[in-house]
Amino acid sequence: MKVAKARRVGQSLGLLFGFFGITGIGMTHLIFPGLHCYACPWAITICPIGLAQNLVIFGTPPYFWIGMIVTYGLTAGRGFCGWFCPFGTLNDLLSFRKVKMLNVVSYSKFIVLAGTIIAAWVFADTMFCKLCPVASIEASIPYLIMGVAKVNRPFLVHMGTLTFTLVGMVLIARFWCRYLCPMGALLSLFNRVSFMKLKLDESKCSSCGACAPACPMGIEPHYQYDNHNCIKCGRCADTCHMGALSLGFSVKDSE
Amino acid sequence: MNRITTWAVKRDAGIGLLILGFALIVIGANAQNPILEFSFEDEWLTVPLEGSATTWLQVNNSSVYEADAIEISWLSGPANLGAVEPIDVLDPFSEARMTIPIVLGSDAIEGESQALFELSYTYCVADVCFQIIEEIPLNLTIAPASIAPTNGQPVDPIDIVPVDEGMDLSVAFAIALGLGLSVSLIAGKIWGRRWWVLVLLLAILATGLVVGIALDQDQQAQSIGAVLCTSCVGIEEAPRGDPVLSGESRLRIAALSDEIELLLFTATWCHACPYAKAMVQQVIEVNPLVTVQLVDVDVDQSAASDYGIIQSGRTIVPAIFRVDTGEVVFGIEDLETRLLSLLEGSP
Repeated sequence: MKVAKARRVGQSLGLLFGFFGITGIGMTHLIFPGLHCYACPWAITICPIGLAQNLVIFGTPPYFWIGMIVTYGLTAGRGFCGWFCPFGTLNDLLSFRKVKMLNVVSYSKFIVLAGTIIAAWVFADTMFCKLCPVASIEASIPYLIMGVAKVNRPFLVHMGTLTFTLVGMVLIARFWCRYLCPMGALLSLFNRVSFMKLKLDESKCSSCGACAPACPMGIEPHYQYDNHNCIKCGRCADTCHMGALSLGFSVKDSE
Repeated sequence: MNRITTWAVKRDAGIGLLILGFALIVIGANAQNPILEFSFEDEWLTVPLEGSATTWLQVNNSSVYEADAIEISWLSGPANLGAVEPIDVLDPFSEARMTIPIVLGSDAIEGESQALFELSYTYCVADVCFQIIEEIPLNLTIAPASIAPTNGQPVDPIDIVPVDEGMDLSVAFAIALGLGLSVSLIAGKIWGRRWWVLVLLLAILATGLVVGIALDQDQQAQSIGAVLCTSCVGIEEAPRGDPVLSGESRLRIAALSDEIELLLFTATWCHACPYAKAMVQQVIEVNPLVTVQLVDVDVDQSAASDYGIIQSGRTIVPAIFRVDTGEVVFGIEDLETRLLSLLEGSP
């Protein structure tokens, strides 16, 4: 259970960092290592996907963006999904049904990512943000309460996507992270080379498969310990009686 | 690393490079650049001394963006401009002609000369508007008062003021990436394939951050995050066209008997702001007791902060602030009703 407790601390820090603007310090120059709306009244960091769309619209070569994304990717890859991202934490809270991952379908998040960039270019607008359930929950609703937003068509569209995502999350654990998150798609590119990694000691593994039902992403950690969908939450490591799986930081390979 | 894992690393790296390449192509194709082409009808315009002549300026918009407020003004040279009708809107993939009356100054002397004009226009990509300013020369043959022939000598190419910044740093980025790639290949040969990817990523990371921060891209990112664009994240929609106050609203505004001072907080790139501005303009036309001061939040951050237009570090535009009551109206949703209640509220 050690990993689970440490992860709760990490997720709490993610929430604290995500909403630190409640102290009134305002926007910083940092990009958030997860999907977190910069329009949120309490955000102090920039949404990587929102910024990427704006850079496409402005025609700015994304040097700083690439630098930050690679930094996060190399550090932990999708570890940020499991340990830091506030929307990932919400996914976690609703992950009742840890059904098996549909591997082929999981590539849909790359389609979402590509679609986000293409739509920004074609429509010269942040189209993804208008649908993003994170913006629904972190911007639309707070601004409605603050009296800035009204119940109008864009607001209802946001509520629609939010409801769809929440229902998906209840039916399929980490539904958003598995199939739709464009930031998850970005970070997953780095999953196998990132310093934070799930390690498997094959000499200890009995291939009993006890780790698989524990995985919120629905993968089989004893076979797919460096899968691009692994969010490095460590539940499998906590479940494994043989101590074959472990989480850690290293520059070397996963094995 | 087993064979399957090695293949998977290659596949992921391949997908990553493909997406990166695609993104760079997309961004390169969409770079901020002048979108209009200008050329004078007459390569050489003959103008009689103490007289005037007319030429035409061909304006072509071959871009997908709408160009607005196309204006020409005199910069230098012996000829000045007569009254020129600006082009308010030039649609994508369209062209227009501006009539350019040229009036010689009193100090003009016979012979060949050149007048320099400045062309300005704006275009918006989503919520970001660019103002492009270009200089365009017009070759003049200043003839005796009785002669007005023209001839066809070639005109100088249009002098476009570059708006693209940081090309040198882009080259530096490419060189650094190239070096990083070379080093990573060597590292891969010596220490194994995994290091190939690692060193390459470290090179991308370092050069991206260094070049990005040198180009103030972190500042740009902060600016993007610090402003709440109500239409971007789907809080409201930016309407097309100007608002029209209803007859009843006009009567109610005309009935206001107290002086009311409003501050209208806008930003140049804000899509919804022209709508708010046009509505406030109508209000002050109906009742001169209402006065409005425009505040550009990009220029005057302190005013926005003082009047509560910046909340939690987020600037919200458009915002209409009534000075004596301290009430504020954000956005443009149902603006007519909300503006009326702002105006009719008692101090």
